Amino acid sequence: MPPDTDRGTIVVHLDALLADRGMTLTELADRVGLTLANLSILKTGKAKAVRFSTLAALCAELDCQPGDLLTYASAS
Amino acid sequence: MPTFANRHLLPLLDGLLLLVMGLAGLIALLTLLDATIGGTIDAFPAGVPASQLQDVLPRGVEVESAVATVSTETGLGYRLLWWLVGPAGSLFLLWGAQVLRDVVRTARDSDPFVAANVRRLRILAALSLGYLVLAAARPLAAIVIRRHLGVDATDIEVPWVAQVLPPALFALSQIWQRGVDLRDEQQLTV
Repeated sequence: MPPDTDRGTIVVHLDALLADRGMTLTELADRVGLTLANLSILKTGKAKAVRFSTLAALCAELDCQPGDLLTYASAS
Repeated sequence: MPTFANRHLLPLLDGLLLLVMGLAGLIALLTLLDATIGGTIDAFPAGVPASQLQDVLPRGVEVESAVATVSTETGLGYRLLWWLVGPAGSLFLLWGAQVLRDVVRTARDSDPFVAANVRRLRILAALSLGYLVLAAARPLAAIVIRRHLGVDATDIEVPWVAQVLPPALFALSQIWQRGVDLRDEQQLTV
């Protein structure tokens, strides 16, 4: 298995989507049933994993597709 | 949610470790006093014939009665050798008990799977390795002193626990590190 440094990263576009919808992070956290601290972990790119249930809830509230929320950036 | 272990067992363990620390400190102090005072008196069983007893005693010692007393006065250098080995083991035990108390407290008060506990387990592994060295050094010191006194040397026996403990504790620290990694991953899962 290649080391993590050779792989790209998953970029979270939560800031842009919140700005487009005119929603705050606190409001989104309340609607999807997450704590603000947890959602901040996702927003700042520190999350190591995202549950499908969380992803589904976020897409439902933000009215978007997973590809709008998450994109892959290669290492090169 | 407080469990039976958190409320009763862990505080009890904490108290026992504190008792071990006190005993270790007392043993270190008594061993040090014993080393500085110097000299020992050994009594042989009364049933041993006097003629046989004379052959095994150091030069200059005479059989007084059916129970012979051997009084030996070791030099300061040899007493210091014994002093270095004796109290050092007790101090290792005292330090190790304190480190273990810190681990028990994290388990009682919060989450035990933290990086600090991995470091503490590695310290315990190092301390147990140091104790293994001392466990071998003490019989060696006894051999040196006995030969100086002209008495037959004893065999070196290192307790099996002292041999097994260092690698076991190091393996436990590696397993604990895996637990910390899993806990970190779980906390960073949204």
